[in-house]
Amino acid sequence: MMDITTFIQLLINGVLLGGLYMLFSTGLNLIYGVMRLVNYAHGEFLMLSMFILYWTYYLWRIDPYGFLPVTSLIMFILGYVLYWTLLRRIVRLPYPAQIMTFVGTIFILQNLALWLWGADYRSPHIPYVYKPLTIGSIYIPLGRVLTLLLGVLIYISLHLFLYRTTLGIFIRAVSQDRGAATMIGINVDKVTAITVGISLALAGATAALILPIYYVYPYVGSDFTIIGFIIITLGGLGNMLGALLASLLIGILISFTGYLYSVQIAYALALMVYIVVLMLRPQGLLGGKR
Amino acid sequence: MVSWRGDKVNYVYVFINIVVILSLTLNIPEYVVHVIILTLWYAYLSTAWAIISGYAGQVSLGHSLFVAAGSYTIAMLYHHYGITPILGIPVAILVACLFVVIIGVPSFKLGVRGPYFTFSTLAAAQVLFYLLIAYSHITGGELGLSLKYTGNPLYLHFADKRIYLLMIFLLWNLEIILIRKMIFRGRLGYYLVAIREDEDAAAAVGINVFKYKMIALLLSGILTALGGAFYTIYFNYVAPPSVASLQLSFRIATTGLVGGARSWMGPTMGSIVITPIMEYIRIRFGSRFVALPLAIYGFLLLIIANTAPLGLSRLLFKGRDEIR
Amino acid sequence: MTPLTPILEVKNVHKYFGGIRALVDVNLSLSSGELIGVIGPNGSGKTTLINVITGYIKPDKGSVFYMGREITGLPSHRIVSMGIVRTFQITRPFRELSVLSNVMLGVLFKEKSVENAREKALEILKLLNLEDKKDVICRNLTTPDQKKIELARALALNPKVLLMDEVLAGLHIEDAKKILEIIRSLVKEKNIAILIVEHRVKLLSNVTDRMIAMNAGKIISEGTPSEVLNNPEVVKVYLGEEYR
Repeated sequence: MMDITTFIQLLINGVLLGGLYMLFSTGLNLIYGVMRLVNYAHGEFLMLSMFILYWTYYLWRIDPYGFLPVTSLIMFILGYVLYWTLLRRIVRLPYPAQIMTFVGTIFILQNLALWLWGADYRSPHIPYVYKPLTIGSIYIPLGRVLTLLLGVLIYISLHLFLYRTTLGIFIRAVSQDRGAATMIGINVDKVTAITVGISLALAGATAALILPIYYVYPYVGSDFTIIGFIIITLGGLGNMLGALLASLLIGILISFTGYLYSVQIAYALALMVYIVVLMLRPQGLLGGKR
Repeated sequence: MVSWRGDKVNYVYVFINIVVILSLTLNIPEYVVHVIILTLWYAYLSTAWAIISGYAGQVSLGHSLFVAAGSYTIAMLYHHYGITPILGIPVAILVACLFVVIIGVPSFKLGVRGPYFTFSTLAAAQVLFYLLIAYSHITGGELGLSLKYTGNPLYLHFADKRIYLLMIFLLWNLEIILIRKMIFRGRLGYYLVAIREDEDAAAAVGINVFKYKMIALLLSGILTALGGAFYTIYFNYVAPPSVASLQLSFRIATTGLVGGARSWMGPTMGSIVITPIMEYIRIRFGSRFVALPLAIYGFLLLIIANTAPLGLSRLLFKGRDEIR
Repeated sequence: MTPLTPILEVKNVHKYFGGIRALVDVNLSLSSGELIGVIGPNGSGKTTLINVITGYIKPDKGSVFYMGREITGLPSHRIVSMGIVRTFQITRPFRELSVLSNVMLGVLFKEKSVENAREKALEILKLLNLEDKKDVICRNLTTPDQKKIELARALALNPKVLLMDEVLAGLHIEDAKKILEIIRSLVKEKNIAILIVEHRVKLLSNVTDRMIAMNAGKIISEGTPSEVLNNPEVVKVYLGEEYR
């Protein structure tokens, strides 16, 4: 059995981990909502952002947390452009061609990164990130606290945006019923493009929050994509609140299992959770969109 | 209805057979034999993959799961217990069936709508990849298992590479014949295509959608595992990056998609186009420099998705080699 | 089965969707060789009735009997195998498959051999004057032809009871009449029981043996076409129908 300190430590780690996944999964959810497509390449955009942040820190000492808004903006523009040039057509293609598009994107991003920057793991080593805050004998590195706080801040802003602004309502309308949205005069293409932009911007923000406490290499994306999809399945495809809840649950799961066994077993267990959800409640904990 | 007489696609099939038979009988350099073996191997794997992904329309992005099931089972039985691959094959099939049930049942059961299967295969393949690395005392971890070559035919160890070529050639041919008989001439094919096109309408004509998806996955998984077994038999070496990686899954899937996943010769044609080029690049530039060519491959995929969305075979044969 | 013994019986069926009463105490019986028409405004429960009979939805109260056996709540593919077939309001042919393959898929349900299935499918196509279009991909067919495919596929399943949901929707009046004639002759020749849900009341009144009118989930009138169409409550519900 474990002592109470370790338990609390793991719990906190789990919540912090969940916080990391939160924004990322929400991005996946948004794209699924407006396009009914899973962005299998989402993790690769995370990887791209992480590399951008790494190099700006390495070359010009620009703090990743500070550079978060700029990175998000870059990713937003990228997402917006990608929709207009590439993704818009994908909805009309047959399923095999859609898969080809996603796999092609993954290949391009992963291998460009590999070609330009090599396969090594890189971490920016920002000194203040490691300063721990201690409560009793519980260690919380400052970086992780920043990550959680900023993550929550961004999440709340996103929520306000989706529920209190006109554009947010449009996005939710398109997510519910694309056809109906067209009929009431919403420019569905523009709204979708903006949503894809936001989704990628979220990946960019996650990158800023993760890089200081983690590391980047060309293949770092796929693990996030996989955990991300498990999370949104658990929460319900397209359901924002569900993704939040599920992120925390999965974060805690990975934290405990990783400590008690290993990170590989943690992933295996997450997969098992996914299978159980499909068997017992395919629409997820809070219900999802078809 | 598919009619075979005089279809141009048959010429491609015959042509391939002739080329391989010539390679078997003439004295050609060993590395050429190797490339032909690899081409047939990817053709075989992609064709098996197409059973569930192309005909039934449930795209798998994690078929390395089944390749690893076959290759690691054979490898571990030989490495730890000295059991010949010949006896290992039935066990490999059982392991493949187990994976089919674990992935298939939750993803196909009634009431599950959406992209879950594709994702399940992706996630499961990645989890297996990690587990293979983690349990290194059984699996050899990241470096895998190197198998001792004894030269004993009972262990399927042969000096002449052409015997392995014969093996994969027979395997591939048997698979094509099986697919033509069971899927293109039988009821199974029509049912799978109906499921792919419209699951509800399929149920309305009395098709038990779950049952037939599982049948397709079983066929696909077992055939793929046999392909994995061949890998171990030929290379005498298994490691996670070679048989259990996402790269392999993507390679199998894209070979099938580029060639035409709905056609019986499509995936093979895909392999003929892709495999030799990839091998050439690997040999000429070394494994370190595959990155740029792969990135270009990614671009090509994007282009093909828009210009030939259903693959090369649809472009060439206009669907005469598919079930329509 | 004597003509008077019903092959399909719906007894006291109720269905609610939250606060909406989709079906309220619906009773219905259908016999072989009968063609009955079901009319009613949108939302009166016609499609829900078909969904309940064919197992897509379970009723909250009441039962469905087929040949004396209770079939309430059985899965749809079981119900199809027993001989109750339905068509959909929005046609769902397999759009990327040929006309012949579409019909074959219906035949393959009972016929295991693909060759024999092909033969039988061709026969059905002949019945509906579609044989020269057998290799056309469904996506490229006209709407009336697509409706015929839906009918052909349903027939291929060898139904004893056929439930058709607004099969004439969107058809030109001449095409609609032709299809109704085909349906009528099928009923008599093959002794099937057919229930046809329709809006175009006048067309139905010429071919059906009996009619049922529904409104707000209830059956408001039943009888011969002239009886039902002259019923004051039916006329009230259908005030706009005068102009059709």
